[in-house]
Order: sequence, then C-alpha cells, then structure tokens
Amino acid sequence: MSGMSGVAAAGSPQDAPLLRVENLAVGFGRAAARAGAVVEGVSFEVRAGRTVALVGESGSGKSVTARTVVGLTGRGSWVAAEALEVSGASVLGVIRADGTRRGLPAPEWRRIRGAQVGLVLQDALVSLDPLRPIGREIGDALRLHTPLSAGARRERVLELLESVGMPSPAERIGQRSGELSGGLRQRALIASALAASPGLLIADEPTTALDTTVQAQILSLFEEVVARGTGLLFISHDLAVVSRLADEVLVMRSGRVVESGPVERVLGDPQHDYTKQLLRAVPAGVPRGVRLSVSAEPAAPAVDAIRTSPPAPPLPDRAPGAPPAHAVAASPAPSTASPPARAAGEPSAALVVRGVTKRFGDRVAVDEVSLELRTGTTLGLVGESGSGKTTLARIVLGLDAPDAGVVELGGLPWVPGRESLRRPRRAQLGAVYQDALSSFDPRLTVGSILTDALGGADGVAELLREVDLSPELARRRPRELSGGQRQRVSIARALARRPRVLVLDEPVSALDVSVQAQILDLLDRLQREHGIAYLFISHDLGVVRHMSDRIAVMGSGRIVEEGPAATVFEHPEHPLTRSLLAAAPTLSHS
Amino acid sequence: MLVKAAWGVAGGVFVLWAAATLTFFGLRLIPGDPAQAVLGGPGSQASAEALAAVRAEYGLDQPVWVQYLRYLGRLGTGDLGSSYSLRQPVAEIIGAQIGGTLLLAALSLAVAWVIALGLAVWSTRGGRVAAAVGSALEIVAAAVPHFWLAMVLVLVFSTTLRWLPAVSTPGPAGLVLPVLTLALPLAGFLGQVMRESVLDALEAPFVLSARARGESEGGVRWRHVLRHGALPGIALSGWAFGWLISGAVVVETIFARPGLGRTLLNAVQLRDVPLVVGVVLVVALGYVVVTVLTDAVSRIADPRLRSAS
Amino acid sequence: MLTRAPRRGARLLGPVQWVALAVVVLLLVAALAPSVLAPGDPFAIAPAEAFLSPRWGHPFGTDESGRDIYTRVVHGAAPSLVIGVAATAIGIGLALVLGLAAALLGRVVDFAVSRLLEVLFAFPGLLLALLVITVYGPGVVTSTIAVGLATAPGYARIIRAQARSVAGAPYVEAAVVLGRSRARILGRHILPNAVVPVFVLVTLGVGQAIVWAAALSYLGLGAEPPAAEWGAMLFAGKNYLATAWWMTFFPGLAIVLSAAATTVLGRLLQRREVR
Repeated sequence: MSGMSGVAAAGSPQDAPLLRVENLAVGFGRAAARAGAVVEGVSFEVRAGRTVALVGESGSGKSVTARTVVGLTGRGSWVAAEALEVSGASVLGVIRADGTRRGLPAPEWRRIRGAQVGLVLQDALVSLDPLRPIGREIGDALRLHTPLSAGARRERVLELLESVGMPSPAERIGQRSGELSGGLRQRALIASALAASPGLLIADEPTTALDTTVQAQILSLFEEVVARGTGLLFISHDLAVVSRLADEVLVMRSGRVVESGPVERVLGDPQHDYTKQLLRAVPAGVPRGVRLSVSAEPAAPAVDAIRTSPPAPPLPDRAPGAPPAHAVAASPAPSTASPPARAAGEPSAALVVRGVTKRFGDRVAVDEVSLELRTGTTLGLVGESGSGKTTLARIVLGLDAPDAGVVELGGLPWVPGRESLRRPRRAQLGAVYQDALSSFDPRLTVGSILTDALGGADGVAELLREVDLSPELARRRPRELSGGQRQRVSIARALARRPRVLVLDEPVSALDVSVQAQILDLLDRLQREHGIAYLFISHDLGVVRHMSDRIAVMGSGRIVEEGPAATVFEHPEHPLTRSLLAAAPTLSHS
Repeated sequence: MLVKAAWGVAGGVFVLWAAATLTFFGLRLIPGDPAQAVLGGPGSQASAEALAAVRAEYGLDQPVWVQYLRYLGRLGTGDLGSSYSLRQPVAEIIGAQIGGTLLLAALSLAVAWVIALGLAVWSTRGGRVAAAVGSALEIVAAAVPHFWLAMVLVLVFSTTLRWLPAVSTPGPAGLVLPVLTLALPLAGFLGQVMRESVLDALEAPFVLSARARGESEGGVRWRHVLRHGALPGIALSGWAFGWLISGAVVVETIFARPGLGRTLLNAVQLRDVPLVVGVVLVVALGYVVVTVLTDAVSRIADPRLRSAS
Repeated sequence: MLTRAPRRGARLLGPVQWVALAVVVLLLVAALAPSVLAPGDPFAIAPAEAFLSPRWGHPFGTDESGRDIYTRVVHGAAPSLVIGVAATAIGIGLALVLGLAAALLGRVVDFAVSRLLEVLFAFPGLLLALLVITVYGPGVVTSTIAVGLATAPGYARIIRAQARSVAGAPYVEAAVVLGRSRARILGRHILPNAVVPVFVLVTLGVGQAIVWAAALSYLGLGAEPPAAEWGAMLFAGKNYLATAWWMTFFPGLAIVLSAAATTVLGRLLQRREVR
C-alpha cells in the first residue's frame, strides 16, 4: 500500500472513515449555475466493518450518489461537495478561480477505483463482460493494481472465488457470466470487485435480479465480507433487505436525504412522513384489507378532481355493502366490510385447474397441477423464477394448450378446446401483466385501448375513474404515462367486460414500493366492490400474503403446498415453503 | 458444437442444390429453342451441327426430369459444361479467373474491416466531429456506387496526381484503386453497424464495472468494447463476401482487371448461358462456404450464441 | 436494424436533413417539370460544341455530340426516378407477399419461404439481376425488373422479422385474451404495426434502386444512350473518362445525391416511427 501515499492526505488515516461525503450535490447541466441537480445536500460516512444503506425509490438519486463516489457519474454531470474523501483523501479535484471545479485527473481516479473502492452492480449477466471468462474479469483488477504475474493472478483469482463461495472454482474460472446461474455469477461479480482488496465496497441493488433464496445467500456473503472488515455502501429500494444488512440508513427522495440514522431507529421509529409512507407500503405481514398507500399516485393530475367530484355511479354488479371507492380512510385501518361473496356462505369455484401438465422438449414446465379458485377470493401462486408459474398462467388464459389436464371456468370446460368456442366466454376472464406497456398496441391511445376492450366508446371515462385515473388521460399514449398509471390502464382494460376471474401475473413486480402499494390497494378495493376472483401470481411472499385468501406454492412445475394463507405462512409443511419463508427478508421494526 | 456445424454444412448443401435447381428451371424460361439459347440466343446464327451437338450434350431431346438429373449429376462431378463464346470448358475458365477475384475480395474485406473497426471505436469517443463521421458513414455506404467512386479515385490519383495506374496492372500498385473502390463503401456499411454495437457496449453495465475496477479508457476499448464492436462485422462477413463479388463485376470492368466478375459480365452480354450458370453457381458455393465459416466463427467469438438453442 | 431506438440527444431535423429535403424537392421538380430548371432540349446536337468542359452557358460541360450535360441531367431525373420507384415497388411488393406469408400463414409456409430466401441470398447483389438479364436480355424494362427481384429477398427478410415480432407481441396476446377474433387482431393490430415500417423501407429503397439500376446501365445492360437517363449517360461517358470527366461526374453526382437524400430522409422517418 506504500504506493498510495501520494493519494493519502495529511492527518491520521487510521481514524479517517473509508468514505466521507459532506453536503454532496450532483447534477446534469451547467455546473456554474448548478443546473439540473439530481442529488443535493447528501452527507454520510462509511467506516471499516460497517454498512451504510441508501434507500429510496427510482429517481431518488441513490445510484447517482454511489457512482459519484467512484467518479463515474457520467458525461455532462457536475459534482459539488464540502467534502468527498476516500480513505481520508479528497477526490474532489481542484477548485478553479471562477469557482467551478476541475475533477480529479483520470489516472488518479484509476488508482482509487478497484484498489480502494469496489463496485458491484445489479445483474452480473450484463455487469460482467459476457464475452470474457470470469477469471479474466476478476484478474483484471489484479493486473491493474498489483504487480502479480499471470500465474500468481490465477492463484489469487481461485482463492477469491473460493472466498465468495463459488463451488469448484477451477472449473468456473474459464466460464463466462452467461454460463453461470444468477447466484453464481453474482458471486463472481462480487469477487471481481473485491479482487484488489479495496477497503470500501459499493453495492448498487446487488440482489434485485435474484430469487429470494439466492438473495438470502448473497446477503449472507455481504455480511461475511463486512465482518472481515470491509466497509459497505449498500444501495437498495428494498427496506426489508436494508433492515437485515445495514447499520445506518439514509432514506432518499428526489435527490435529498429525508431521514437518516441507525437502522433500528429509522425503520423502527420513523420521524419523517415519507419514511413512514414507505414502511407502510411494505405489504409483508400486513393483514388483508389494510390500506398500504396514503393517497393515489401523485402523478395522476386529476386526483383532487376525482376526490371532489361525486362518486362514480354504481356499477351494476357492485356489492351493496362495499364502501364507495374513495371513502376509504387515509389512515391504515382494517376493512370492516367483508367481501360479499365470502359473506354468502361457501363460495363456488370460479376456476378449476385439474391435472394440468405442460412439457417443453424434455423439460416439464408444469407437472400435474390442480388448483381451485373460489368466487370472489384470491388464490396466491408463489414460486421462484422457472417454477412454472407463468406457463400455468398462459394455460389458464388459453394462450398455450396443456399436454394433459383440463381447466374449467365457471363450471364449464375452458381448456383444452377451440379458441372459437372459448371466444364468446372470454369476457369472464381478464388478465393483467407485469409489463403493462408491452401489452398495449403502441399505435393506440389509452382511449382507444379501452374503447376496444369495452366494444364502444361509452364508459371509457367511467372506467378510468374506476381505477383512479383522470378521464383526460384517454388522449395520451401508454408510453407517456408513469409505470403506475400504465398498470392502472391495464387493470381498467381487464375490468372493461366485467370478468369473474382476473389472472394477475406479477402485476406489481416492476413498480416502486409506494406505487405497488397503491396498485395493491386498488386491486383489493375492486375485488371487494365487484367480487372478482384473482389468481395472483408473484415471487414476492409479502405481496402474496397480503393479497391472498389461499396460497399455492410452486416449485419445479409442481404445487408443493396449498392452503389458507395464514396456515401456509405460519405452519409451512413442505421444505420448499420453509426455505422460501426463511429466505424472505422481513422488516424487523417492532 | 459439432452438431451445429454439421447442420450448418447440411444447410449449405441444401442451398447449393436449391440454387442449382432454381437456375436450371429459371433458364428454361428463356424463350425459343434451348439449344439456341445455350449458343447465345437467336442472334448467334449457330450452325445446325453445333445445335445438334448441344442437343446431344445436354440431352435436350429427352424429358425434362432426365435433363435435370443429368445436370445435377454433371454438377456433382464438377462438370459445368463448356462456354461457346470462349470455346473452353467453363470449369477451366473459372479456375483461371477465380484467383484474382478472390484476392481482390479478400484484400477489400480486410481493408474494410480495419477501416470500419477503427472508425467505429474512434468515432464513439463523443463530440461533434465523431458524431458527424458516424452519420456520414451510413450515407457513404448507401449512396456512393462503385462506378462513381472508381471514377473519382481514377480522376484524383491517376489522371491528376499520376500516382497510381488507372488500369489494373499485375503489380501491387494496380491493386490499390480497385481495393479502395470496393473497400470504402463496405467500410461505411460495416462501420455503421459496428458503431451501433460499440455504442451499445459502451452503455452496458460491464463497461461501468470495468471502469469501476480502475480500467483506463483505452483498456475499456481494447479489452471490452472492441470485441463487441467486431461481432456484427463477423456475422455480416458472409453477406459482405457476396456484396464484394457483386461489386467485383463493376470494379473489374472499370479497371480492366481480369477476374470472375468481368468474365461474368462478358458472358451475360454474349448470353453465354453455360458460363453464366457456372460462374453464378461457383459464387453461390463461395457464399455458402463463407456463411458456414462465419457462423462457426461467430459462435466461437460469442458464447451467448452457443447456449441459445 | 429496423426498430433501433434513437440515440439520446439525436436531433430530428439538423442541417443534413434540411439539405436532403431540399435535394428531394429539387429532384421532384426536375422529374415533374424539367423545363423549369433547364429550358433547353436534352437531345439537341451541336457538333461544334462537343467535349466542352464546364463553363458559363454549359455549367456541366457538353458531351461528344455537343449536348448540354446540365440539361440532360435535369431531364434525366424523371426516367431515373421512374426506374427507381418501379424497381422498389416490384421488390417491396414481392417482399410484402413473401414476408407476410411467412410470418402469418403458419410454420409450413414460413419454412418454405425462409428456405427460398436463403437460396436467393446465395445469388448476392447484382448476380440475381444478371441472371434475370441473361434470361430476358438487356434493356430498361428488364433491368428494372431485375433490380426489383434482386432486392426483394433482403426486404422480405426484414418484413418477415417485423411481422413475426408483431404477431408474437404481448399486445396481440392481450387482444386474444380480450376475445378478439383472428381477423380483427390481424386487421387492427398486426397489419398496421407490421406494414407501417415498410414505408421507411420504401424511402430507403428508392435511392438504392436508382444506384443499382444505374450500375446496370453503366455496364451496358440497362437504359441505352442517347437516352437522357443518368445510368445511360454514365455508360456513354465512360470511354471519355480521361479526357472529358464531366460527362460521367455530373450524372454520377446526381445519382449519389439522390441516393444520399433518400437515405437521410428514410432514417428520419425511421426515427419518427420508433418514437
């Protein structure tokens, strides 16, 4: 480390934090005018063996902050701060006479990057060069920062792979990121960031692309790394993950820190409204019927108009006992009104899946699955990626034919069968997809999408109000809308023909947690009002538990466990269910 | 890997068979006496003996399917018939001409590759000049025909500067202008495709990862971006080969350079059917071989293609 | 390449696009009313004024018979454009039939069309055109058809890919789930989304077709002198390249500018389409 003396500043480097950020501002625009700031007034420190988390939703500035620390904010950006120090040395560069700043020269940044600060990004499939073996990628940091020979580098890479828990490293060293599973390649990515033993590791959403059980393993790896004395700056949107890993947390919104402090304090006793709102939006452990969101999406322009306008005229099939759409209290309170269908005694089966099997070549994607979805209730279907959830959804929707088994809708045969026979009954079954945007014809406006679904222009405005959108949005195209608005349009389209069953395939997985909360509240309200049955598919146990009456757990194409939501969560029987539950990070704010 | 290669070869054989078949039946569309057509059409005033000889050689008095099978059989043994205009077996003519054309095409491809990759990597450094180069590439590729480029090059380098011969001479100096004429538009096209790929790579997270581990700007380009830029170039090389042979027809004519292209043009002008068919089928063979090879190289260079089923 | 998203910061109408637009307008004026730009007779012979280099009165010079090259280039716009448009119409028309059939009529048709396209790709570029000319003999009509046929496989592949991706798009499945009939999905969603990008291809294609047809004329297989057509003028001038470069340079420049302008405008349309 003697080569670093030129970078290290005077003072006592032993006591200096690995990273000190004081009043940081970052923007894209004219530096002198401080135009286009996306981060402002951010201050924190990371010390050895500690974990600091930046948490926020998309656009909160958390990733920009992380990148600024390694000098990779991007073209056309400016950075200003009272202090930005890595291992006690300023990386701000020089202040010119006119007050603007010349950044640290590139060669000096290169001595810091990799050697003093390592960076781990979201998905190693694209964060490691897909054309190069992982051994080379990991070895690059050694080549750049150590005098090791090629042979010695290889030895060190093998050690590194071993230390991040890579099984049989000698075989893996020659493989490329695409040849490894999601968890293994994320381990390789972490090894590449740790290769030159940097004191500080920055991880930007490092487990977001992973399945729950794999995420748990990678989080353990981070804990090990921190226990060995590395400082960790952890960026995440997921409060549960943060609560498990972090010592300190900064909650960011629109480029500013709204609240910060020790994790127990911030998540256990939040002071700022936004933190409270975020925490409330997390569905895990929250009983059904409790509102997750405070208000409708702020991006919807006519929310106030909707509030003040008289409630939408009741729809023919609206339940008489259900509260009006907009009268639900803003504070979280359990809904007292129970769904009408459930009140009407033993509900009948809206959708029955019996012995459905689907093969793709040698692979059995869906293996003799049987399920029953009762009228007006929600059946949650959970499982990790590749468990067959989506294939089953496509079979239920009549998009793919099963190799064996039947699906009945409303007591009548549905699948297999000819599409022309299904078509007249399609109105009974709707669908909401994860990626709402791609499910809309790009040439059509929201209005024409809904007109198509309704079979006429009458009722488009009503339909939009029903999902808390302004009727003015009818003239826009879906790509001009926010993610939450798109999903509302998607739900409106599914509702247009008053279906009895909705298939919801990961409907909130692509959304920020506060938007997710609004959509979940909306779905809950619609079910209570119209008595629609939901087949709710998700990888997120918290979301599924919040939404479901019954839960089916799927793994390797089979339903391994099925039962009432509470029973499955509190007394899981199958090992897969148990491991999923154990792996799911939960908020520990009591 | 081997299975894929075998399938590639099988596909190539199929394409060749189909190309031969298409040519055989396509040429039967020529109006009038097929024997007459073989000898250059109605204007050639072929003698009765010559016509009779052609009828016997091609079995024109027999049913179509017999003719077709005989045609395939002869192709299988490498017999492409004989040219009436040059009074020589087609295979011999092609054998004598193919070397020059392949040399021209190979050199042009190499030059185009170097220019294209260099431009793609350089022009993505940012700034106005680079962006202008980027958009100029596509205009050059799409809009500058060989004949015009050749003319301008001759005007500048031969007529005005007198550095290089306007007519292709056997030495290396005679190759410069023909190679440039073929290579520049191709470089424009390849450069444009490679540039897109380089831009994509530069925005990819793995480049951010590389920078974050301390890689220099040069290192990022040399170790990561260059390969990604080269990939579409490899994939397009089969297409480029065909494009170069097509261009060789024009370039060999302009620079009076012996080769397959000029032979083909002469044969078309004289309607020397056996020679046209021979050259076209040999080019098809070349195209198939190059395509199978570039597919294999692409799979070696890009492991993602291997795992994709 | 048909659906590439625009790069960040790419302006829609820069100076290059304006110049291209001006060239196309000029081209259309020259094609529809050539006398506005060049009142003279493109075929008027003046042996005394043969081989004049560009000068006042003859801005592009004169040819071997003393005809004014400028007048001939202006009057050559119409036939050159007609050839370009006709060849593109043939090529894209054929490609639409093949590409849409392959994408929409099921696996068997798709297999057959895809193999056919593979085979046609083995006759690259001019070679397919030369085969056609061998069968039907040289001439303007043959060379136009030949260029159309030779460009069809490339377009067909693009249209097939486009139509296939549209036919498999999530919004088409969403329409199935809504209970739309196959005919309605085809008419409302698949055809509009698959065919609209073809207009981009047409724009890009006209310039290409002009270049190809000129190449055939230059080789003596297309339009013949003394026709006032750019390719034919090139053919006539190529023997005088060393002594009268203007005879080939200016018709060639007209071809290059037309092709460049249509390419720039085609890309412009493409970017708008992607938005």
